[in-house]
Amino acid sequence: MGQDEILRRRLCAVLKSLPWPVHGLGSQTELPARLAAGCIVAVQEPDLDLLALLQRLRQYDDRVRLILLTDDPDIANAVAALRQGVHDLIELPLVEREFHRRVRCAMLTINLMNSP
Amino acid sequence: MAESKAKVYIVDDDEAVRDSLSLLMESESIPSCCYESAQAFVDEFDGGKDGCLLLDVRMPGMSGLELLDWLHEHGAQLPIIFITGHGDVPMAVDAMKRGAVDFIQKPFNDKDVLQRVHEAMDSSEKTRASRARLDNWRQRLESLTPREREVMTHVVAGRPNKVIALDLAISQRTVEIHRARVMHKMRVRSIAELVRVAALLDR
Repeated sequence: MGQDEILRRRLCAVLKSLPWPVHGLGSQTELPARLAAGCIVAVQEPDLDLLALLQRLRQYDDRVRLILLTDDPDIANAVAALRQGVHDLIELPLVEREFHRRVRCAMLTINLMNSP
Repeated sequence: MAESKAKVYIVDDDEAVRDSLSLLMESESIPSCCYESAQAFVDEFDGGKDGCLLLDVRMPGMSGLELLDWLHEHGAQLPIIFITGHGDVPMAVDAMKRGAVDFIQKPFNDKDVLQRVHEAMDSSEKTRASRARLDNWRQRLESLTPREREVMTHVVAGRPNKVIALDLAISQRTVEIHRARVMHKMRVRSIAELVRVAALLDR
């Protein structure tokens, strides 16, 4: 999820090699009404209202994880985000292998399927 | 605020940091105890520590993160606040994902540290109290006879006395007596309370 279309497409392409379906979303308003389980990878943009997003995710099943991607790494903000309920936080630019590993870990914590 | 037994355990290889943190705790009348290494803390650990741990990440020998893992392996539920002068985002994320409650950078703001410590001490006290409550319920459950436990399982499942009597091949009157004993021994006033307690013990 992110407004930057080029980055979003790239993220989708990177995630397509994992065994789960991938959907690109421009913003929080495009989130589906219902989501049983899964992982939302959101790019931390100036417009992103993290608290509102976490509140929105709480309406879903508790098997929905949020991974935040940030290009403005700051320890205090990262810790605050994790304390608020973000499952993981990854710095941009992405290292593809590490990104795959973290998404797999998030998916495995919700017990969707075994490690492919 | 936490009970008097609770302390802030300060583990840092830098004596100046230990002194400054312990003075800070003293200024708020929070009891504290200092250790110069993670190993020194482990050597003294008896499982009965309450409060919170202010922990440096990088130390000679056992690191702060290794101590966090060690405490989890030993079932300790002390909230851990990391304080480091050499942290980065991946390290902070890793520590938080491993179960730390906070990650503060040096030089730290005294007010911030005190606020986090108070939060951690309160959460530690709540955990301790709920653990004590659960132990209490467990003891009461253990005081039931096997038959009373059987009847309790049926009662909690919402079965009427008549059905329980048929299932256990005993009289309805006997079920009523067992049921009354279960309520008395578990010290609950209603079936709803018994169901709630059973659910807690089942977790």
